[in-house]
Parts: sequence; structure tokens; C-alpha cells
Amino acid sequence: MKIFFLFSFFSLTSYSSTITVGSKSFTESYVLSEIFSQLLENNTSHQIKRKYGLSGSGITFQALENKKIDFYIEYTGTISKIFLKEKKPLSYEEIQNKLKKNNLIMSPPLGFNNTYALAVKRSFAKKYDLKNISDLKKVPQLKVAFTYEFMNRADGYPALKKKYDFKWSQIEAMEHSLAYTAIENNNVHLIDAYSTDAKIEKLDLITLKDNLNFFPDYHAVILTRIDFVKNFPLVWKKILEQKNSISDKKMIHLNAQAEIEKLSFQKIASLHWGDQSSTKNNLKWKQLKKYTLEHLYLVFISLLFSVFIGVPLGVIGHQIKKIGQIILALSGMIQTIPSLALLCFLIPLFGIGETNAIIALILYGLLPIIRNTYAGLESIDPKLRESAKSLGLKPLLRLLKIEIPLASIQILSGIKTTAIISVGVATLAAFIGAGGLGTFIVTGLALNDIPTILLGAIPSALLALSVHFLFEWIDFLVIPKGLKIR
Amino acid sequence: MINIESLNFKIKGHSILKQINVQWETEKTHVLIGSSGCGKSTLIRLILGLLPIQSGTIHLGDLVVQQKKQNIIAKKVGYVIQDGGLFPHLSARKNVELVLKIHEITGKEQKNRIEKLLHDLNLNPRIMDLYPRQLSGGQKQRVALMRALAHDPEYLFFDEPLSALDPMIRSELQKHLKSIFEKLKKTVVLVTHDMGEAAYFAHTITLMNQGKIIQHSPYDEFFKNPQDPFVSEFINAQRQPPELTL
Repeated sequence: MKIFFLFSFFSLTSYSSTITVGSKSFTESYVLSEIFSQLLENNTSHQIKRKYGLSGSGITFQALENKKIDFYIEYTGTISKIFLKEKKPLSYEEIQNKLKKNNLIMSPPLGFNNTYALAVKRSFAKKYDLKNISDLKKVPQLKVAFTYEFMNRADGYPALKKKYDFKWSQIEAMEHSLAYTAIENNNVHLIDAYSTDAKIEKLDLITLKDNLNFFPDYHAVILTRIDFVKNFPLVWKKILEQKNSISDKKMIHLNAQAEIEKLSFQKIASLHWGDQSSTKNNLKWKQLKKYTLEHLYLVFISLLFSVFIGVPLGVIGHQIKKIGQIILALSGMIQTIPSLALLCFLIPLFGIGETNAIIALILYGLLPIIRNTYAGLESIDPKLRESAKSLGLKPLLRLLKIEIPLASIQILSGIKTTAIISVGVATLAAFIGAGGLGTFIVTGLALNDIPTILLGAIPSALLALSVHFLFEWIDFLVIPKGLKIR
Repeated sequence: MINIESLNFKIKGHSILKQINVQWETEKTHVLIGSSGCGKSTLIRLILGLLPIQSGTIHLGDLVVQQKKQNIIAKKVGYVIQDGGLFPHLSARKNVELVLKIHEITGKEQKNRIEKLLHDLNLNPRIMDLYPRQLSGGQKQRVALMRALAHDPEYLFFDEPLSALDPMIRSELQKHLKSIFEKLKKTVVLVTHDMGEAAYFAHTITLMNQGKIIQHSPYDEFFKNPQDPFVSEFINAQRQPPELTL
């Protein structure tokens, strides 16, 4: 009997539990995360929660450590350099051992290696019979365009030149997208690229083999916590089956489907799993509704708190001037912190996701409310204040019945300012996985896809506008009629 | 009886009132006069308990005035300032009701009181639903007077209540005020800087200059018997219209 209960309890918890899949905010990370989300959705009974578009390796890694996400796709080079802070490249086993000491584990490589690569046009390679990077020595008068970063990094061009003993004279630094245009128009012959860049397929380029092993490996792996592997052994087994299933070529193709064919990540993933009939490309409208609601939730909750904290602080500040100066200075200081930085500062305290975003929005919303409450009270005619006193009104009643109503126009305009700012700042919440309309903007930025960016930007602009009109209406209801007569 | 003894008041070391001694009798109208900045408004605010007493004493009847007793003082006094001091977010009626509520006059009693005041002050009930910003200067002062009288205080204080009004309305309101003072038998202290107004209302006149009382005497004596060159100077400074030669 006991065993039966234990068993049913175990099966209940394991079947009802949710797995949260994370991704960073660039195309390849989105595509792969969605491929694995669908793999688990199709083959297990777990609920899959998607937290995509996390901003940068640091935030995503922290999200994993803090159990806000269960796994995401990372690169061996990034793990050893950024997380393990190793200067020398480590082997796969060395990285795995170090990860295990930190309670983390990675899957075997998924197949492709997304490292720096040198690319030439296929026709050009044929002409000079180029396969390896060393073969470039055969080409006379080679014209080269490298990105600024690659040109200047100690482990970039300077080291490459040394290793392969190149003596190029026609070499320029330029923007990545310009370099692609330049090679397309035959203005240059050789550029640096990421080996799984979608443009490689589109422009019919080939990457040359790094025959002297100059570039460090950036093998894609699934990074997770050891406790996740223990709790979901079957899921982990399913993930391990995907070892070596995505080649460089396949990955380039997947990226191209997103960036060039403009398919949605859902569509690409379902095509990957062989579902041709998928209509998941039409998900955007459903998403729009979901993100709009999330956005409104973030703005509304944070505004509520900002008002309940900000108005009393404004009142206290007005009554005790010394404290008022401190309150105003502090809230002003918060305002000078760039919003994205504020979100990042709060991560150690509140982790990633909604709570963090809401707290950042509350802090951001305080200044206009405090300042306007303070200024509104300050602007009351001293004679009226004295008049209220002379009638024998007690301080609290004087505040509630006379002073706050008299300052109501300014207090409400502060709240309105905060609400409108919040609609804007809340778009940044997507960078830390708190959802909202910013999700479209982050995705669109990753895909360099203007329509997707607009899908987030236009509704949030409309939302700001509606908030404005909503407050005009609230003004109409709340501001005492006698104050509106001029 | 309002009795002030050895009252001094300083702001940041600067003397605003110096050694004020004065008695104002019950049910009479006392005019406090002097050029602006002479300390007369400060004196009123001290009596109302709006400022702390630093040295000396003020008695309102048998009540010793102290700032912390402001709510007890409020029961005994009504106060009208230059443009009325009505709260712009409340209608005229709500302004009056607010005072009645503070003094716990509610329900039917409140309604009766408002009706009686409207009658006494000869006010059109329709203006009670207007907001202060919709009222003319004269209407504002009448409503302010109504608010000051609402809880039937013993003492009324007016701080230049008519100086912002145009002459026609002003003289009409002066007449009206005087008849009300006589009818209701209140002890009134009226601050003004207008000699004519002082002469019209006063049982006694108190002239202040630079924080000191220069002369305090019954009305007729004040004009017949100036005790200080400043008094004559002050009386004569009020320019009369030039005599017309026909």
C-alpha cells in the first residue's frame, strides 16, 4: 500500500511538472530551443514553458543556475571562456568535469561548430582550388574584409596572420553586413563569418577548413543542471539521442529559414521534425494577445505599487523637508540608471523574470509620482492651508480632505507620466524573460526582421496612447469639479 | 473679552511684535489698523492659535491661547481672510458643511443651520451649489462669512476681508456686515488699512506701527485725541477726493 502511494505520488509529480526551456536572443538560439521544446512536447507528457530571448550569456546562465530555466543551448567555447573563465581552450571532457563541480552538466555536441570561419565565394574557391585556410597562400592579390572586432582581437587577425604566415596587403575593416555586400559584389574575396551564418547559404559562400586548428571550438551543447538530469532521466535520454544530429550545413539551413525565408521558429522546428502541414506560422496573432496581456499586467501591477509607495513618500517628503530632499535625490538617482542596467542589477536579488521586471518598473515609476505629489502639495496657496488649520481640521483630515484634493491634478499627472513610461520600459522586460510585447522586439532584433520588431513596437505605442486616453478619463472622474473651472 | 498681555513675537531673531497689551470687550467691533507689515496679521494668527506663543499671554474669555489647543480655539472663533479662503474643490455648500461636520453638527440640525444662515445673510440658496471659482468677489465673501458663522462662534476675525472688492460692492457689503454684527452680537476684530472702513465699523480702534501698538482707544477719542504724531499722520495720509469747485 505504502509503495503504491509512493509510486502514484512520484508519477504524479513527474508527469505534472513543467520543463522550462530557455534561449538567448539570437536566431540560432531561438531555433534550437524551439526544436528541443517541440521534441519534448511531441515525445513526453511534460508541459513545456518557453523563456526565450534572454539577453546575453550572463543572464541566461544565471537563469539556469537559479532554476528559472531548465536548459538551453550553449557553446563549448563560451562555457570555458565566460563561465569557467579559462584562458586556454579546454577539451570537452575538461569542461564537463569543471561543470560537474558546479552542479551543471552538458550534453554531447549537437554536431555543428559555430566558430569564427573564413569564407569565400564557391566560384572563387573553385578557381583557385581552395579547401583549407592554408590554401589562401596560393591566391595572388587577395582582397580581404574583416569585421572591426576580428581585426582587433588578440585572438583574431593578428594571431591568425602569425599562425598561417599570411602576408596580405589589401585588407580592410568593415561592418559585418557591409562585408557580405562587398563579397556579393566581388569587391572583396575573403571575409570572416560565423560558420553557421545564414548568409553563407544565401550568397553561395563556402567556409575554408581551419587545417591548423587556429579557431577555438564552439560546439553547440545542451547545458543543464545535474538535478534536472536526475529528476527527468527520460527527458535527458531523449535529449542525448540528438547527439550529432545537426551538421554545420543543417544549422546554416535552419538559420536561413528564419532570417531569409522569414519562417517562424515554430514552423522551422516543426518542419525539422517532419511536420509539413504545420500551421504554426500563424501563431503570431495568438502571441500578440498573450504578450499584450503580459505587458498590461507588468504595467498595471507596477503602477499600483508605485502609486501606493510614491504618493505617501511625496507627502512625507513635503511635510519633513529634510527627508524630502533625500527621497527626491534617491528617486532621481534611480532614474539615471539606464533601464536595462537596472534590470541587470536586480538579478542577484530577484533572479530573472516577472518579479525582477516589476520591481524595476516600480523603482522607475517612483520619481514622477513622488515629485508631482511633492510639487502639488507645495503649490497649494498657503492661505488655504492656514484657512484649513483655522477651521480646526486635524492634520490627517486636512491632508485627505483639503490638501490631496487640491494637489490632485498634479498627482494624477505624475501617475500618468509613470504609466506611459512604464509601457515603454516594460518592453525591456523581455530581455530578462519576463515576457510582454518586448518579446517581439527582442526576437525581431535577433532576426534582423523589421516586421517582427514592429509587431512589438506598434502595439506598445498604441498601448501608451490608450493609457494616455484612459488617464484623461480618470482625470475627468477623479479631479474635483471645482478645480476644473478656470 | 480678548485680553492680550506682554505679547512678543520674533521670527529668526527679528521682532515682529513688541510688548503688545490690549483688551477687546465682548460684543463690540474692534478695528486693528496699520500699514502693511506692521504685525497686525501676525497678531491675529497668534490669537487663532496658528502660531506658537513665545512670550506673553492671550486670553479668549477664560481660554488661555496655545498653539496645541488650536482645535478648541476653532470652536470659539470664525475667521475670514482677504479673498475668503474658500476651498476651490468644494462647492459653497460643502465649504459650509465641512465646518459643521468638524463641530459635529450633522443631519437635520445641519440643514436647519444652513437655512438659518442663508436667511440671516440674505443669500440666494442657488449660489450654494456653485464652486468658489464660479462666484463673484462679493458672493465669495458672503459665503466665507457664512462659513465663519456656521458653528456660531463667540469671536469673529476678519483679515482685510473687503480690500479686494470694487467700491460699489464694498460699500454694500460693509453695510451688510455692520447690520449682521449688530444683530448677532459677536465680538469682532477687523483688520484693515482703510481709515474710512475703520471709522464705519469701529467701537474701538487700535493703531499699530512696526510691531507696536501706538494708540488703542474708543472710536471718537481716536480721531479727537491722537496720542502720537504717527496717528495724525496716518489719519491724514488717507487721501480725500479733491473738493470740486463749480
